[in-house]
Amino acid sequence: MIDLGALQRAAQEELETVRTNEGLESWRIKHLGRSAALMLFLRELAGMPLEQRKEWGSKGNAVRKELQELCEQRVHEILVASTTQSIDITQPGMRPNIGSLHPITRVKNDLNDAFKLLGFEVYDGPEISSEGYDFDALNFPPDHPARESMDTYWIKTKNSQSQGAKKLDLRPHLTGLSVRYMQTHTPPFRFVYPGRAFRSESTDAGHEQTFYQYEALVVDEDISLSGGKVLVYTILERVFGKQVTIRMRPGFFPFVEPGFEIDMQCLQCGGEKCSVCGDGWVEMMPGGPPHPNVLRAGGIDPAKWQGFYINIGLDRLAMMKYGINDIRLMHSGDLRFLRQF
Amino acid sequence: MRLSLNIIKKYIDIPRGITPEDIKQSLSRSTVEVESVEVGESDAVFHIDNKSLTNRPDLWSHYGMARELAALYGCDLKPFSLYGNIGDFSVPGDLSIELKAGDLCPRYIGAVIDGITVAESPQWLREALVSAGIAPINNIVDITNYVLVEVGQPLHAFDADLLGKPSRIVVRKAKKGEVVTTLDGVSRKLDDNVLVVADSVKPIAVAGIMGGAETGVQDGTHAIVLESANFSAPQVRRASQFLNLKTESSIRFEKALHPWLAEIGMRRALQLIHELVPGARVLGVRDEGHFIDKERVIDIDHRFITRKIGQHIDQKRIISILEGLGFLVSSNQDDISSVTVPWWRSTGDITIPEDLIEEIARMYGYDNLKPQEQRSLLRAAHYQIEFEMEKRLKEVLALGCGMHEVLNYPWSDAAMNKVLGTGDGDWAMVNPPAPEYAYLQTTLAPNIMKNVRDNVRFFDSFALFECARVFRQGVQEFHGKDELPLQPKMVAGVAVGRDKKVFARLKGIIEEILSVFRCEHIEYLPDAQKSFLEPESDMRIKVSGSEIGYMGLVDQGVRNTLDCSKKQVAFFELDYVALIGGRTFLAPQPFSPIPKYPPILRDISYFVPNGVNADSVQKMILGAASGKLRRHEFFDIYVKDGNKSMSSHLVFQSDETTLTDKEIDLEVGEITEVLQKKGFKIR
Ligand SMILES: [Zn+2]
Repeated sequence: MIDLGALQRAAQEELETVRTNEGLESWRIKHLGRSAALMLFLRELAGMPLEQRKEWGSKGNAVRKELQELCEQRVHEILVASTTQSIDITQPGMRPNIGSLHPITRVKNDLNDAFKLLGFEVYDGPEISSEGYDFDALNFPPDHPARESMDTYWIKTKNSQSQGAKKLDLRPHLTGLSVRYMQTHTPPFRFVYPGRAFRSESTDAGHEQTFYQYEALVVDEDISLSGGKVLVYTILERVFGKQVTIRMRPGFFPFVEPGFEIDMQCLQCGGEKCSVCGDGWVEMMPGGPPHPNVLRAGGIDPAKWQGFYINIGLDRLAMMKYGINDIRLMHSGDLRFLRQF
Repeated sequence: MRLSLNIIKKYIDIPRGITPEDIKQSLSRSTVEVESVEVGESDAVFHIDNKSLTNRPDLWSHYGMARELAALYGCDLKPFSLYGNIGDFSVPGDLSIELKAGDLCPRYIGAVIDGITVAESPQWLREALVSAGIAPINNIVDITNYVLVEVGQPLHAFDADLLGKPSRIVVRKAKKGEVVTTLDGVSRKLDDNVLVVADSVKPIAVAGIMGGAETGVQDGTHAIVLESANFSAPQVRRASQFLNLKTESSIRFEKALHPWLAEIGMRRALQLIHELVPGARVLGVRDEGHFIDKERVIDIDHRFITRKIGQHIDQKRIISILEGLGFLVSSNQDDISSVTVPWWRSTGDITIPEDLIEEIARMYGYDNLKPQEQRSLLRAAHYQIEFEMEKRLKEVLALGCGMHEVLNYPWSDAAMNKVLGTGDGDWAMVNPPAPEYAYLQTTLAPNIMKNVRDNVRFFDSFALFECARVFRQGVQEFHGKDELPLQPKMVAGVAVGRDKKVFARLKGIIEEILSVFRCEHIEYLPDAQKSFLEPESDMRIKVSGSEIGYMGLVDQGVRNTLDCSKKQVAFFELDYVALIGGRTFLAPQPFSPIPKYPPILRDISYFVPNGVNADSVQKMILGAASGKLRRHEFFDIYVKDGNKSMSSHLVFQSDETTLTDKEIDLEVGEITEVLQKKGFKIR
């Protein structure tokens, strides 16, 4: 037969050391739970002669009752202890489990907010596009060296000799999308079209084969170079939350005339030259008024309408904003990187 | 391209105090980005990316850059120093030239020179070439190369004795099967994509690209035929691509050079030969070809300039900018009427009034333009569900459900596709980033699984999601006149954890998404037909009768390759556009009034027969109850000794009265009775 006394002593001693509700619950399962020694003993009694059942049953149940009472008492003691115990305010709190948005999504959202305030519509389109929109409509002369500078990924199709609308590509930039919009909307209009673009080039800390761009186009009667500058300042100040120093210089792109590049003074070093910028300036965005041939391709009369494009590299913007030193981290899927945002 | 400051200085006197770094800045600000400047003891060299110069054929030379700097600094540009004058340029000689390719060769100037002694060039010439990035060879070759970098005209010298007498030059398309060995020693098979310079019999040079090895200048050469020609840009480009051969000559011709430059190049070369090769005699020069030397005149007025630039620039300033760059401006006191383009900018670079706006704005200085606010029409903003919902979806997943957003490449890894059984793909690239990434993804699964494998070393449990396009067989309609592949936007998520609870966690996230999108009539149906998911854990998700995606636990075999053999991984993928389901606006969730009477809670527990799932139990309970049962929730579901035990919270409430125990007992009784009839054992 079981030594009920020893069993009770052991349980009581153990109970003395219990300080928390969790501890108490484990104690309860161990000594009063379904598979506790005492409970198994009481269940086994059912198969014994009546005499023994009576004697041991009452003894066993007395132990159980006592342990249950002690347990309840302990519940009360723990409650009292917890309400009188002082709080250690320096002990770390319990942080909620929150995920993260990719830094590129974050800057894209910032830009969307800024452009929406200026009345811009958001637009989207295909990632597999065609030579017809990505080159022909954008004033790249046929057989011109500028076509090569785009380092385009071409898509295999049944007819490898296809050209124009039938020659498919992974869009090397977003600008072709603007012609899709122009062909289906009536000016004046202003819209943005964020997205990713693809170039067949070797990757390093500053170059990626898949990268994110944010492009905007305004078409109106009088939007000028000086007008476009307002846009540039608004955007950069919104994203960086402070005034930034920019410079504009010529840059050649067949779809704009004149074309230029906008550089921003490096925020890492404040223009003092560092490893991020090299010479104190960071190339932020090219832009310029659409070439008249591009407006024509979009079905818009260049004698009446003019416009202004800007194209922002989201990867570079995010890198500048958060001080990220390698563009390849963007596609790393590395949680040690992602969870910081 | 490399530019030597010493060569530039032959043509302009750089103002005092201007350093090479200043020149780099000035060119970058107004003309073209200078990547770097290398300042040495005797010279400074500027580096410019060739790609930045595709639109400016005139800048592919030191003289061209000197001209640009003269305009920038307002200093004088010295004229070319040339040999002879136009009048006595074409003298009869022992050379015949036949142009049989029409427009493809608008001009060909050939000179026959004897009395040549091939020797080393003087030091200044060798140093100048090295600065410009060209290795010195001998005096004759060095002179042709020097003219190339100085004035931008490619030249070629043939050994006259190897051409036969009298010397005959024919410019024609190559015949299919003809072969020429070029100066780089490569034997090249030709066809009619290629224009050649030939003698009476065979090709002796690939026109505008590279000379032939057999007829080139050698140590013993004592007479040469010097070529300075003009070849059509598209032709040179086509041949260069066909032969896969780019040279200093071809990259200049393919930008479109003016036939005038051929004459300048020849005169400059003859002068250098005269100065540097003692005993050399010009026996004759022939100048053949037809080109129309029509001046390009562009009509433009001051109002147009102001409208495009957005601010008024003084007429005098405009005229001085344009004239500084070599344009001729017709104007009177009140306005400008037209602008004549200089020949060196007239081969395609400057064709429309907008091109002149660029010249004015860049020389005025983009940085000097003042930002001007624009007057414009207020248009109604339009609600764009696709973008609003994408933002909301990402925020719910990241900030609400604790998932981390990843962005992956659009191509998928062949090895991972094999592991998952997801197939190669439907669309391949002609020039893929790597052999294993030949295909674009048809599902977001392979790349997300790679993310799992990469992160599991560092994290015990985590959840990721991605929202991106996939590329599939079929056609999708977009704005535009082209027919494009099906490329739907998907949202996929993965949860990694120690046990199968990740299934419930991820399913809970799907339920959250479906509620964010206000989806109705949701069904979870068995068998998603995905070989990478564990059988019986996978399901298809239907909303209002259409399938919008699937979810399940990742199969053990797949988990082994993901280094997750001891973990559980749950995955889902949903079609983003199907989630929106053609709606243009999401109805708000209507508010339910707060009940006046208290809810009464009852719990019941029961064992269920084999094969009975939660959905059917839920239906039984709801079917058995009256309207007073306001909520039913499962809790504490477990399987022990082959018996499945379930427990339910039942919440009863009335809008009219406080329910009594007796009423509730009756309700619960109805429910347990139905369950018992179905063979459930109530505990
Ligand atoms: Zn810096």
